[in-house]
Amino acid sequence: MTAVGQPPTSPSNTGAIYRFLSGIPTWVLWVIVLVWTLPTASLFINSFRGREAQRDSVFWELFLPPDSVRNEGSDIPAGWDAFTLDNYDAVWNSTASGGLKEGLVNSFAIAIPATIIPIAIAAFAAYAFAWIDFKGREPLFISVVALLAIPNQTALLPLLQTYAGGAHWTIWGTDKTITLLPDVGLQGTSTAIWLSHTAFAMPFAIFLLHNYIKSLPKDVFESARIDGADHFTIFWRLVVPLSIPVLAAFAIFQFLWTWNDLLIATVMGDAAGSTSPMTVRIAALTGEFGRNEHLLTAGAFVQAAVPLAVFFLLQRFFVRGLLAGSVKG
Amino acid sequence: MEVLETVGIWILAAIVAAGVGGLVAGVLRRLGQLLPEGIRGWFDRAVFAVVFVFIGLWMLRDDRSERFLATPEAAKVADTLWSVLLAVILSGTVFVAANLLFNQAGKSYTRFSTFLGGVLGFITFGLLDGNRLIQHVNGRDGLGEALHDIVNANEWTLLIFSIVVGGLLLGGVGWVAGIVRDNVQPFRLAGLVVGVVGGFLWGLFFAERVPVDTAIAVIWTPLMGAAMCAALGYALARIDQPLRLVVGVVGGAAIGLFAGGLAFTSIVPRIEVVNAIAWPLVLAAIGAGISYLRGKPILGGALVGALVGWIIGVFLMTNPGGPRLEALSAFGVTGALAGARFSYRERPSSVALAEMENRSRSYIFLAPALFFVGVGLIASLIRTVLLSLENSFRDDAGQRVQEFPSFENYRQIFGTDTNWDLSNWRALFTSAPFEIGMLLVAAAIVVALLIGRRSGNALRGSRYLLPVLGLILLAGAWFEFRLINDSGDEEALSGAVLAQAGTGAPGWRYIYLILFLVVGLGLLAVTLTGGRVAGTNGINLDFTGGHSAAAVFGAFLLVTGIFAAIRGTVINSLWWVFMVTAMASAFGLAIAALADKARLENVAKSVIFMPLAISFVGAGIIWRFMYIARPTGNPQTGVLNWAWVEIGNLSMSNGRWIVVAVLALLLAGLLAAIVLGFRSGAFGLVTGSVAVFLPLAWLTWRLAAGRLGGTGVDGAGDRTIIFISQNLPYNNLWLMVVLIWIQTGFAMVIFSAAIKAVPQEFIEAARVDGATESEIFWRIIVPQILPTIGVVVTTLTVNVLKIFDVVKVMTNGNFETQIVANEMFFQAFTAGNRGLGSALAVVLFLAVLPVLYLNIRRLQQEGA
Repeated sequence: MTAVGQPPTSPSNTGAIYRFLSGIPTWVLWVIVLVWTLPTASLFINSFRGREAQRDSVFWELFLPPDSVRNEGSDIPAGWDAFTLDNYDAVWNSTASGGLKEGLVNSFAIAIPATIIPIAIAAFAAYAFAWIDFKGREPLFISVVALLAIPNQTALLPLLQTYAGGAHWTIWGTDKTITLLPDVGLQGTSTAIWLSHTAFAMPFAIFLLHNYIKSLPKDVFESARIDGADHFTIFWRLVVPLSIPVLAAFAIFQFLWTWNDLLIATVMGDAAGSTSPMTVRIAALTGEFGRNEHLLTAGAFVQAAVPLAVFFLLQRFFVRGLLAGSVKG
Repeated sequence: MEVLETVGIWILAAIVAAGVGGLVAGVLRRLGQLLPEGIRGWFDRAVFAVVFVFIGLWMLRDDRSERFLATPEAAKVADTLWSVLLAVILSGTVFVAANLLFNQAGKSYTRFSTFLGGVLGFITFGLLDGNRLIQHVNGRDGLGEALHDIVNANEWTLLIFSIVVGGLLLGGVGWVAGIVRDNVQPFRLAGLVVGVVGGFLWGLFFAERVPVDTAIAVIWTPLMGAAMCAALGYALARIDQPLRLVVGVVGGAAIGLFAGGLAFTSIVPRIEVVNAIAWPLVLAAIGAGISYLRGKPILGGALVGALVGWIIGVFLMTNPGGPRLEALSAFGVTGALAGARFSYRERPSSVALAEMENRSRSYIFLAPALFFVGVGLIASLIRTVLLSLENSFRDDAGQRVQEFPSFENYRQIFGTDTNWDLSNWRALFTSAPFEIGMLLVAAAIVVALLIGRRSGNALRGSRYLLPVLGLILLAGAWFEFRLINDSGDEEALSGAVLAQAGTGAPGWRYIYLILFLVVGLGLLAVTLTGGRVAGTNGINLDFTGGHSAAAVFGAFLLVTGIFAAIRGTVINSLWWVFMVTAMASAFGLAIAALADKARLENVAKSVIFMPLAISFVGAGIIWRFMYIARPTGNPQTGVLNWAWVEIGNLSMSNGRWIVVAVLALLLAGLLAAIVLGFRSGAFGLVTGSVAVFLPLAWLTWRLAAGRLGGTGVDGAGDRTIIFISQNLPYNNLWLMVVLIWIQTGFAMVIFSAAIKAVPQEFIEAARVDGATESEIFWRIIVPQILPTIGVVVTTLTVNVLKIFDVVKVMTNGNFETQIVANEMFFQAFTAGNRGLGSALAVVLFLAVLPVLYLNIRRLQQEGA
């Protein structure tokens, strides 16, 4: 409610003025909505125009008749004549676009496992934190979830070193070194990217799933215990089926996050590019100072299409997860 | 054809997989019978599916895929699926096995003890072997060599020998087991079969009939160790004291001797008597003490202490290179001590076992997650801190020198101008954002004071605002004075450069000087005379109302001024955190409030929310196309520059008068609102309207004068805005816009839910009492959602700090837009400067520590 939208409290205002003024917030809202859409729409529409047209005119000229916008003596396609699918063609034909097609495959190859692995691991942990009594449960839970705030950057270098050569520890006071984790050749593999994503996702996943699993009715568990079910059985037969909504919410989060990630894929991935997802390849394209700039439109749209589809189809779960993760209740 | 061939191969693979998978699954099904009733059906199906897919993929993967799969993409898919399944099978097996193991604890102690022994043995020998402490039992290595020497025969003799010995040994074990279980016949048979087959395999192995794959070689010693430990565990589970202790010690020693026989010469210690006696004794005493304090059996603690002490005293505190005999005794005693630790007590009762099962289950459930958290986050964090204290440089002689610990990296972060440059701080007070922002804030405070005097409501702690603001205003007046008086002063001039952005003409400076002086002194005067003169309610700053928008906007300008005056990578990060967090929260709150109960609310919210699904890289590209500036004279294709130039064209044409007329009408309406508000005492409305009126009036005036937009006064061609690659230091703001565009949706969703959770009765009651919509928002909704605002702000702060993609894609830190997260990436992974990169990461970590603390407090209050 901006101040402008407020009717003066003086008795002199009539119903018409009041209605006009009280309509302002809605107008403002729709103006904001329009402004918010403009950048994405601009990219999307530009992706159907060729390089020349993109460099020659603003995106909405695609909707105008060619004759009204063509410059004198220019043979650059104008107006709706400029419509073309060449950009998408070039993206699909990988060599011209720096392997965006391989990038798409890699994106799936990274995002899907990096979504499934943390769910499996975190669900067990969340159940244990919620329904198994053990000493030090609360401090342990709080210290795990507190790590939510830690920036990924603080763990990147050591993780990379571990993938590259394992983890070794020189025992203090002696010159003896023991190997804690062997080098199993993870450097530059998709596996390294999954494992990193799994580690970074753990606090949030545990937090989100725990909040939900904790809120399940207590008597369900008690009666199951009385019937002689062990924790493992309870987990599989009761908790997993009941937690589908929150598992879906987390899956969407994690999928969007891993699909859109640039940092971990760049750092942990193969330097030669065999594991590079679309984000990395697109980011590399931007560095070429405009040589393939026109392909960025189609590439960025293809990259965004998958998360957008997920987002619009499963928005309900997504919002639920967002709320459960931030607001108690 | 390629496609057909691929499809054919996949089908073939599926058929083979189904066959083999069915077989393997059948075997595994038998194992599945061990599972609890509830999950057996699920287990069967899962095993079959997993085995089926696994084998199918194995046929398709890697080098095979190159032959079979038509496209590299398909090969990539098959390869990825295969590694995923491998990972799933491995981790799933370990996990299910761990659960099964502890299932047995409550049911069959014998089985539990045997399995536990096997697992512990496997891990122990795996660690020893993996650390190259003992040799592989591999062909002619170690034990194999010894056997070759003993038997001194060709490989066939060796094979037969192995079969006989293995059959006798394992068959004997089976026999004993049969006797113990009163069920001799099947067990004897099973033992014999297992023994012969095992011996045959082992013999093949020794005789090098089996090509010794590295993988098998690595796993063989652990398997042997596991078998021995499992046997010991079995024995211990079935024997009572005092024989139990004897068997434990002797068995442990035997396993130790096995390890000792395989030990590499390089780790065989030369035992020193003092160390070998003193360390175990001292640590045994400590262990006993700890056990006593914890109320546990003293002997257990003492044995653990002695074991650790022995390992330290014999293996760590001595020099390597001793004879084989010492290796045997060193390892033998270790094994004996460990065996004693496991066998000194009576067999646990069934109650204790059930208790143990329950307790252990939580750790099994937690173990994978804690492993990832421990290794991936905590250990890595510690290592990063250590790395950041490492300084590597070349000395005068060109030698690389490592210095530890050293704070050189931190000195570089906070001592280099590119990262941290406060030298220009004086320019702040005479810069345009500061001047305008300060006046807005001051005006809002005056209004808040007026309203507060009437209402008596006050923002907690807000009374300190007055003297602080007064002093800042006076400082501003002082620097303004210096600038006017002493234009030759270098420092004052540096301020003038920034100030040119908005004000310029010296006449304005006098106005600012006087305004700052008057308002500053006025605020100080109010503070000093305070409650006594001002009336009944004292100094109360009431910020509920439209004037708080003016205050926020003023503060926004102020902060912009501060960050524009002091520069550097770290400063930029702070600027990002402040600006994006503040703006995204404010926009999010505003949109949530506007959209609440509006028509098509969900559509509007979806659209605002959508950028959250787009990657930061994608968003960077999207906004690149908004910001593009083509060379002057060319058609502008970036939306913003296009609009800028079009506005310029408009302001040069006669058509501008229509727009000016419309704007003038709007201004008149605002003026009316100001007058009305003033009359009815709605000061919030007044300030809000003024805050809109002033910039709008300025815009109208510029437009009327033909000086607005992308065309110069003289009409000499376009003047585009080079948003992100020039325009220092405000180009940072244009980058922040991208993140604000993304994060507003996040804030909006959460605020929207919080607003909807405000009890409707409160709002109804207020409405009945005649509260305006604005009053309802500021006095009821905002206080109700304050905790949510806290959550959003902390979450956004953390998010903004670690995001580097936007800067990476749009400027890569050029043009003074570098931020810590991107600098960290550059130093650590591009420049190869690990120490500095780690230090930058640590700086990020330190920056989130307050948030970390708040989160912990919040969790504790919620009671986890």
